[in-house]
Amino acid sequence: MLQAKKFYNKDVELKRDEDVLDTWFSSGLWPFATLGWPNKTEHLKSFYPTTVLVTGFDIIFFWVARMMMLGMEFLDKEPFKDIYVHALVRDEKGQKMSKSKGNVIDPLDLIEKYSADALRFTLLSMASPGRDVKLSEDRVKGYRNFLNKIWNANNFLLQNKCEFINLTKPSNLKVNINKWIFSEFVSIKNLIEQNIKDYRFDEAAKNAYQFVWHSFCDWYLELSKTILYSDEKSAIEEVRKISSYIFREILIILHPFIPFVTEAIWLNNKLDNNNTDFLMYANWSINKQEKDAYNAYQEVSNIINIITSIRSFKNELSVSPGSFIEISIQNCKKEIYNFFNNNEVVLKKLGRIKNILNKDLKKPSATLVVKGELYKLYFDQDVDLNKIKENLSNKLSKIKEEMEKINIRLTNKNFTNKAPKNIVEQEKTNFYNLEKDVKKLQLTLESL
Amino acid sequence: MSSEKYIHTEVENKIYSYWELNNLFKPKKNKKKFSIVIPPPNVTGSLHMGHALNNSIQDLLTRYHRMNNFETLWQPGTDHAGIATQALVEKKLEKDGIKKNDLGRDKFIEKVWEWKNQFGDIIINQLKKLGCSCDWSRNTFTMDENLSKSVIKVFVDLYKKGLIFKSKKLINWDPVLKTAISDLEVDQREVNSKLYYIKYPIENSEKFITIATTRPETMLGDTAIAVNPNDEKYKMLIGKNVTIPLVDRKIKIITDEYADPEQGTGAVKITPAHDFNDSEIGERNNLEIINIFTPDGKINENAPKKYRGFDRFEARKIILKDLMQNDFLVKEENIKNKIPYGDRSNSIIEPFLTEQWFVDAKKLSIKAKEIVKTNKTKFFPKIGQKLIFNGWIILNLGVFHVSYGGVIKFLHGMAQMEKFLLRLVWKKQCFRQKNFIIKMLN
Repeated sequence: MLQAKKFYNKDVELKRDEDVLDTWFSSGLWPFATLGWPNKTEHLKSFYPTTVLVTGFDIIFFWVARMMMLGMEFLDKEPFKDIYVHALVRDEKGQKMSKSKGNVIDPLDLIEKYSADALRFTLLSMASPGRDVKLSEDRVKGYRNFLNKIWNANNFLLQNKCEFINLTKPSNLKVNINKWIFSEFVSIKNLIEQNIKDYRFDEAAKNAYQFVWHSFCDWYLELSKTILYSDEKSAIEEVRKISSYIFREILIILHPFIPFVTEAIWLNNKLDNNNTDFLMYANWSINKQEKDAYNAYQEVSNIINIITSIRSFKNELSVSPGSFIEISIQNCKKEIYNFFNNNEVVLKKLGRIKNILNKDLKKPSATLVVKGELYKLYFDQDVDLNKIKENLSNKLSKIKEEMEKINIRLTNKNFTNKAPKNIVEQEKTNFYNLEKDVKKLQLTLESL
Repeated sequence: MSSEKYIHTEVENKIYSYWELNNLFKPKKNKKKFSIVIPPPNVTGSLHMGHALNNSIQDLLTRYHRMNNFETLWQPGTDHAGIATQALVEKKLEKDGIKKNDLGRDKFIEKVWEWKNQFGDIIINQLKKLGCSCDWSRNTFTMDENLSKSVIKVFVDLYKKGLIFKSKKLINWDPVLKTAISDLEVDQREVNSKLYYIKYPIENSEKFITIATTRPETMLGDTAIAVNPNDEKYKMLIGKNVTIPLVDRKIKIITDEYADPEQGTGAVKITPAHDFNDSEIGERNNLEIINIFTPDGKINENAPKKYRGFDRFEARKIILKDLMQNDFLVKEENIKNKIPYGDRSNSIIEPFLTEQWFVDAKKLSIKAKEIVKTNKTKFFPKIGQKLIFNGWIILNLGVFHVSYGGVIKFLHGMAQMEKFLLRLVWKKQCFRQKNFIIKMLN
């Protein structure tokens, strides 16, 4: 008003322009106006420029470009240090979700059905840079099972008197599986940290999932049973301590992904220390020394390797996974003798091994090679190796026939030129997969 | 002791209340800072999968940094998003028997606030269901006082710097309601119409050039006749003057790709003030713009005395009669065409010139481009950088339209903007960019 009076040299009436601004005019000021600008607020000082903007491809120049222009013009500083651009969420076939197609999945339904955690973990594990997320309900369901797995792991620990009070960082570990799980944990934590810093949430989620489901639940807890059910008091004590310690750390690294279930367990286990230790502020970082303290621990990796090999070998031969075997290590190096001696209990239990033999037996055997070492396996009496051999040979010739058929199609120019590209590609993939099967079968047959 | 099974429905809401009760989402003083501002969801919206992905990522980052000793702020808020909110509020008013135009601007905005206070928390509660750990005590709405204050400051400052200025632009105008309306409110209806063939005498010759039009009354505002540069039958006439029948004003025959040799006679009359296509042709060829209508759709003082004051449809009848009597009307044809109707008044919409605000995007983007180029702002994945530069290429084609001529249209959706961009791009024939945008929009 005063300015207008000065300008016109008389009293004037000011009228508001009836025109209206486009919405981007207000949303373009979002990163600083929300922090209090044009006032010089504490928040503006602390938090501008913001660390990162998370946004979709579709609004980069409608919205992001304008925030950057206005941010530079009015604060002379970029509004964001990083901009993470994510893709669209499509249905499982890769189609855009739309009401007319009827393929819209409502996140609130999935939250109700499978939990917010399961939905979050699914979306995060599929957030590959620049690639659309193809969402299927089965994936969400699968990750709901992940939550159960974690819940059950906690129940197992509680049943086995693994306590959550006075947890201290482990030192001077004696038991091999404890050394192993700790070194595994340190390396996976580093990996997850790096992947989050690189905005590779998909990789980070996979790292966490692998470690928790496979390393911790499938292997560590299984292996720990042989100790927990033994009478070695000091080893039992160490396993209890380490399993609680690692599990607490698991809750911490999983919290940003699946905050609800981790918080629920944290509170159930009274890890909050009467509302003084909040999971939300629990510290992630590992100090430098620890990172180097435990290099990948070889012995347990070897145990896992041998057991996994025996299991998949049985699977290839169609031998029941529950059946027992005898194993001869006559042809192995001296280290392997010691290794089998030291870990006899675990190997026997998880590998379903009846006897570990120093000398080969004079009966039909199958040969298993793990990391260049040769083992002879003897099966139960009811396993007829000759019959298995025959079955495998039949299977092999059937696959070869099938390959021949595909080969004829693929050498037929009429087909390769006229058929839709994806079908030709599919045929090529089929051929390649069958080829791999043949090689595997031939190796197995040779081993018998 | 924990229970046998994990039952999320019994746990998730309780846990969220526990976090809120303990004020865990507020920043905790520390040297290292981490901050995110939420891309504000539409206040009228409901959580969809895109939101779920977007916010899961933000929450992961927020929680991760909060756990790692950063003073962490996730700033939340919602957007009025223009027309969507306006439409919902209008609908509610209609139910109560209130008309928006009777209320006036301030009262209507009051109603928007009432609506927002009543329903605006729906999307917020859905974000909470997902587990978002925003500092809700700082929740912001794009119509909040501080946001409005910022808008005015930015506007005034840009104006002082000469970066924002007024210019004329065609918009959809409802002559009955006397208001500008958005594209979303225009209903294109197919109707039976007549195509009139009118001949214009060529200067210093006995000859005529014939054009076809469905709106003969707009000839009062013609400023050129356009033919296609490759149209052999008009080659000799390019650059010649013709006289507008009944008006007695001289205009030039110009060339423009827009004239289609296969359509009508191949020659078209150009009325930049009353047709969106003609307006673009006018701009391309630097044609004069003559507005012949008053805001309520009557012929104004820019037309010959005889027709002034008549309603647009009345004027059409008189003009047709005069054309016939003076032997300028060659023939009539029955056709079907699309006519824009206003959703609310059910009257025919006029393209109408109004003054609007434009921003000088070329100048405004200089610094912003620099920070992207020098990686002061980094994109993950890198492709984002390309996208934003493409956006700036388009903006650099000229100034950028930022306002919307009219009355209570303080809320305005994106559709208009997208169309405008496409038109701009088309005009400059940047086919590559156009395809790129179309891909982006689909």
